[in-house]
Amino acid sequence: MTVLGSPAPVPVAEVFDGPVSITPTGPYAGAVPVTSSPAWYDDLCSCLQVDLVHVLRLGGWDPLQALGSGWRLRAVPEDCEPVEFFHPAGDDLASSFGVYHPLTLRWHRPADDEEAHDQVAAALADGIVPIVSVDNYHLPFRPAYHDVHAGHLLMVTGYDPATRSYQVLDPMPPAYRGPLPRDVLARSRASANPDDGSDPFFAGSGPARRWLEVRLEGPQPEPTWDWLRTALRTNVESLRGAEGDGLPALAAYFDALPRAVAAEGAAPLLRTYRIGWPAQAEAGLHARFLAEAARRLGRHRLAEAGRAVELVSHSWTGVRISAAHGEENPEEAARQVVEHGRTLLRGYEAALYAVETALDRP
Amino acid sequence: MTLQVIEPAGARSREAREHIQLPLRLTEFFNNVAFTGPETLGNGRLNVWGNSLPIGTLPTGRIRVSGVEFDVPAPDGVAPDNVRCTGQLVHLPDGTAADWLHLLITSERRCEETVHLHYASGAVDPEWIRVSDFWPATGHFGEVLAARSAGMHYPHHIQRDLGGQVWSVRVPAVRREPLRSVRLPDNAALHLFAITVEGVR
Repeated sequence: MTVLGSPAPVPVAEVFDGPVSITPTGPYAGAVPVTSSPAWYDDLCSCLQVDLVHVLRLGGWDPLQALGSGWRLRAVPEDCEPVEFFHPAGDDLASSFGVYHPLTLRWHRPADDEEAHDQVAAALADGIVPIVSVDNYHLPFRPAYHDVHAGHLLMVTGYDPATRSYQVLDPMPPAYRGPLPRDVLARSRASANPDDGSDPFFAGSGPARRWLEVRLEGPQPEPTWDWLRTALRTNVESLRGAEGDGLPALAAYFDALPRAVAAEGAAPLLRTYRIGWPAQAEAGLHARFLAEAARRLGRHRLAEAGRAVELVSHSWTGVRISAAHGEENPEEAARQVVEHGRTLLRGYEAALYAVETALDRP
Repeated sequence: MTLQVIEPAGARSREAREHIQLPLRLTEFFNNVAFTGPETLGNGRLNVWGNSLPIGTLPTGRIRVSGVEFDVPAPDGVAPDNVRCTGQLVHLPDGTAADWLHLLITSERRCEETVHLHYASGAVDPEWIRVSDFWPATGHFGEVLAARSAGMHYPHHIQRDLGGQVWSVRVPAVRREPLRSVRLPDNAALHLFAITVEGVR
């Protein structure tokens, strides 16, 4: 966590129209409840980013600033867990989310169903909205219900001991907000999420009753132009490899892919689809943040830089989709992925140049 | 600096211009199944999970989408009904006047790609083609929503609370000469259903 500049006053929460279904308690009491899910669904994001947006918004922060002002690209680790919420930062999510913000993101791993429930109940009483790891196979509102195993995240917003029922929120399409029996969520959280061939990307690693605690440790920094310039400069340095990953690591990943495919077959391609999701989503969030900041500050070159960043997020589609369909002819798919990867890397370079240009010229 | 209008355009420049639309049938390029029925769910290939849209999502025959006429063959859930874009070269009839290419298209995730326009003189221009997700999403690039399905087909079931989308997208052809061929993007995310070429005089 890096906080730039001096703390600003607590921002006034925005008022949103729409149905209200969550009443924050504890430290979030008085914060604006989340409204209808579609307002915060973004088709580039996975459940990880979408859920974080909702929870940060509940805490009264501008989630786009919190998730979109920092832009990182972590090197792909050896072990890429097959879940929808895979992130190369592993447990160190705060190195990629809420950069420049006083934010703590902590995974908890309770030992059994009882402890899993107790921790969630305690978090709710403390005003925390837990983001819990689940296997979609057991959730009646997911299209994968009793069909496909897939590691997913949803938010628990309440628990009613009288009905032994949680209130949950899952903004990912088809989106669900409502009750879920305690034993159903427990089964989903404890599932082995077995790799039975039903899902090539997100099966094979159990939720292990994990849940993510999102804790806002202070006021959100005020997004002044000085603050933003420093943040953007730091982003560019990081993407150029100052922190040991960034674009050099991504280029090395694509360079090594054909050899990995020759040795292992389609597995590295399926991995590529997975590792591309957070990178695509976070480029998209950064682009949205820049577009919003450019409007607010009246800086046209910043808007143009935001568009260049957005092209990066869209260019991940070619990489991910050619990888996803690679099982039939892995070597040909690897060639396509590398070709899309080169386009993507050029897009990153152009975006960094555009951001640097926007720092000095309005 | 905001530019000033010194004098409005004269009546002559406000005259209606003639738009000539040429709907093209893409059947010979079809290589993928996007539409299925309850009996053919397993044939869907709109994405790697085998999702597809219900037959009937997109009207067939000569259809109009926001003033543009397209030719859409009727799908049967078995034969291919769309072009999954892998860099195919589509030749147009000789002397095709083109100012716009209109495409009925959708994408497995939001996509921004290059299409190459080959003109009669041999000139080639790359142009952007921008397509939003077939999965629930708002049109990101200002496209026209051509169709939204009432459900999403999975290989083993129908999900009635999830809809899929087909977009009407346009690409400019800026040279004032006939268009000879179109190189589609080499990006398997893109699923193309129909093309109409429009010339404006």
